[in-house]
Amino acid sequence: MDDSETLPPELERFWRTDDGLTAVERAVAYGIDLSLIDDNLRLTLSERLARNDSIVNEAESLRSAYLKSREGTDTHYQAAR
Amino acid sequence: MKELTRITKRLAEFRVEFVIAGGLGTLMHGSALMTRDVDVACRMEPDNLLRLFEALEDLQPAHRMTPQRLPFTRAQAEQGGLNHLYLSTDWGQLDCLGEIKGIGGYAECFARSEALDLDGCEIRVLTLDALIEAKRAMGRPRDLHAVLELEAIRERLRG
Repeated sequence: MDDSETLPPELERFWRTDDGLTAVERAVAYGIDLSLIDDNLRLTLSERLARNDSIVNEAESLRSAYLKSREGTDTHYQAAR
Repeated sequence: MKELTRITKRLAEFRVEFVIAGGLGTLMHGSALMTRDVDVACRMEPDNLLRLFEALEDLQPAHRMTPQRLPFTRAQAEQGGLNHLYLSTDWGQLDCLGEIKGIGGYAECFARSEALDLDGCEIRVLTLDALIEAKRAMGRPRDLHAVLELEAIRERLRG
């Protein structure tokens, strides 16, 4: 686990299940938007996977375009490629 | 271009013995978390690895953790003796794991999986309970988010 995967101490408590909260209440307290999960649960398995493929590919296209736009202008962004 | 759905269906079409785990399993159970690779528990015996190789043969499978991205070859599949395979393919990344932390090897994963229908293909996926245990065993921050979503989904489904 690298430094970018260190959990802030204030969030460690969310690993516990003896806090008197229901799972839904715990997720909400953590900041999870349950409407996204409810949307997903309404989809078929095929639709869930297709949506993931689509969003991941869109995100990668945007990242590539962004890095290309920075090409030659910033060594930090060149290193990220 | 990531085509994780096609990778999954391709493995099933070639009768590879595998169980979906990781982020894709989490997604299949309804999580809103996105994933960029396919993690599977896989029976790592030569006959199964050969089917895996044949499923991926035309997708340029390569060991993505090696500096030169050496190709995954038929000879390696036939020889066996592999514990894990971290592959890149033309359709995306595929991690074939001989063991899933918190659950065990392929047989244990199979015993704790359920069959889901994906466009006519039967896909085995770790059960919601097993995925939660696996994610808890991994214990990384990103796993906590997945655990919280999966536990909320389990509660939602139980009504």
